[in-house]
Amino acid sequence: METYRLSNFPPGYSTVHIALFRNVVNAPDIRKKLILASTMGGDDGERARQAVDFGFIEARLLVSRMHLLIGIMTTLQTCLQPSNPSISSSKDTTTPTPESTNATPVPNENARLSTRPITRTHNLHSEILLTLSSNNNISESLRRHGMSDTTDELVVVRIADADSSEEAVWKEMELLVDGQLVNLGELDSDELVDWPRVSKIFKLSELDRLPLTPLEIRDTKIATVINTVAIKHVT
Amino acid sequence: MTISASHHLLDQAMLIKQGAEAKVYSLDSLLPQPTIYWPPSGPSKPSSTAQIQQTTAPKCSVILKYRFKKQYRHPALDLSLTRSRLAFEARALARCTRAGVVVPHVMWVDDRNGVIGMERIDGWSVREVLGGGAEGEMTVEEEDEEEIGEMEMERSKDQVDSINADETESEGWTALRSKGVTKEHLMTSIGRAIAKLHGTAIIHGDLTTSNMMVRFTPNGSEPYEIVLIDFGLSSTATLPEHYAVDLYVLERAFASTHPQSEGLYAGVLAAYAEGLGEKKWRPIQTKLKEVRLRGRKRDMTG
Ligand SMILES: Nc1ncnc2c1ncn2[C@@H]1O[C@H](COP(=O)(O)OP(=O)(O)OP(=O)(O)O)[C@@H](O)[C@H]1O
Ligand SMILES: [Mg+2]
Repeated sequence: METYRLSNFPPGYSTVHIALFRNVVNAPDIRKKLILASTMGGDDGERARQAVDFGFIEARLLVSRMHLLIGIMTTLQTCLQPSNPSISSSKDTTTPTPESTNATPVPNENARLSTRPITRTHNLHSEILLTLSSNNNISESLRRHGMSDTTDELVVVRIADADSSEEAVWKEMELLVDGQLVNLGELDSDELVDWPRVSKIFKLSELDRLPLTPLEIRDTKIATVINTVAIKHVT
Repeated sequence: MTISASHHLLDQAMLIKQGAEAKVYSLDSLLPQPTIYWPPSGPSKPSSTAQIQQTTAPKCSVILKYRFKKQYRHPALDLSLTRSRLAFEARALARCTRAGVVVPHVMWVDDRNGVIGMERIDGWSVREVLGGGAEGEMTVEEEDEEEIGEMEMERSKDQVDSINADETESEGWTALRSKGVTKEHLMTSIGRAIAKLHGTAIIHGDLTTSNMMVRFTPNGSEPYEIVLIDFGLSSTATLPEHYAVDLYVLERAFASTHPQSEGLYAGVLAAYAEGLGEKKWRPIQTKLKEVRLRGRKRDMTG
């Protein structure tokens, strides 16, 4: 599991834990837990939601580690702008969701509120899936880039506060995911990528016609996908 | 109010160029080094205790270009102008990459704060390679320096370049030459790069030798490649004239910055014409002649 401490983001959301699991065998179970958690009320519901408070990402649609990292950085950057009235008014579709997910209270509540994430989906974790998508269709993006019953290569992300510890988060992941934890760098190996699907989603087949070597074409495709993610919010 | 994530990044970065429209910064990594956690009982690691180790983040050195607020513009106008220019630059870069034109990859776009982050190209500008900066220009720059103030950093760098140009050959040229690259080859690569760019219907808007970089390609079919940068003034072309103006700007840049290389410029056009193909080149060639004539008349009258 890799942990990035991104000091340029507000302390309530500045730690990103990322794990890549291969040969995952319990995707349907995890999804059941997610659905159950969202319907339960009371304290039990609260606990259940906390236990599954992760971003679950279909790893076969990630073309590189950078693709994922840029997706996360872009999500944080666009959703965590310092309070600015012109932003909330320009995006009337946004509904700030109460970020009830972090167990540890943040010391300066005011500072935290001023940078409460503004998301179009449920929370920052699901917002990553929208950022990774080639379009702005929320349900399609979540379905495609999120976990499905057949997912066996899975990325799990937790965005947490500055004090969040690796060990504690790992324990939560371990309880949930039945798969093999591997180095995140394996996202850079071609073996994991479902290129036909990625090509279709990001319209990459035209790149096959470029007068370049196969290796250069592959790099150009990767760069194109990452660019798409990095600039989507200004297109 | 807290400061934006972009401004945090700028604080960590090194200012490398201060222009009238933008400040350019270099940052060795967009991301901090991550820690790696291996669980004690993990199948991948046979150790008995949990391990946390530092690892290297993927290579992500970035250039951050900050379009700062202009006091002389109305704030609302300034913001919308900044946002649209930034968005256009980001989209142009993405479009170029998709079309196989070699440009920096986009990594960070914060239009609300005027910051774009892109892959840092490790190499030299063509201007540096050719030992840019003419003596005449240098004197003018010296005279103007105090008035310009804001441009100071850039200017003094140019002066250093021009002094070097007279005495020794540039570091970049020495490196290229050692790989057997000739100046003619460099001109051909530049012409091809521009033809590729124009093939996407994007015009650069500020084609100068500072806005083209040379970098080595250890795995490529050629020893080096041309990387076009600075798409802040780019736009979409609709008429042959637009392409011709783009070429004319470069022609003038060559004449003023590299008078000793002016003869080489013909090689750029030849490769451009070949890259674009006869049919597309013809109308542009006609327009280019007109544009040159207009330029010369302007020079004589004013
Ligand atoms: N991606 C990059 N990689 C390496 N160096 C870069 C990159 N982008 C910019 N630079 C360096 O910074 C300088 C200024 O960048 P750029 O031309 O984009 O900004 P600008 O302010 O628009 O400049 P100009 O005064 O030409 O309009 C470049 O000439 C180059 O030396
Ligand atoms: Mg420039």
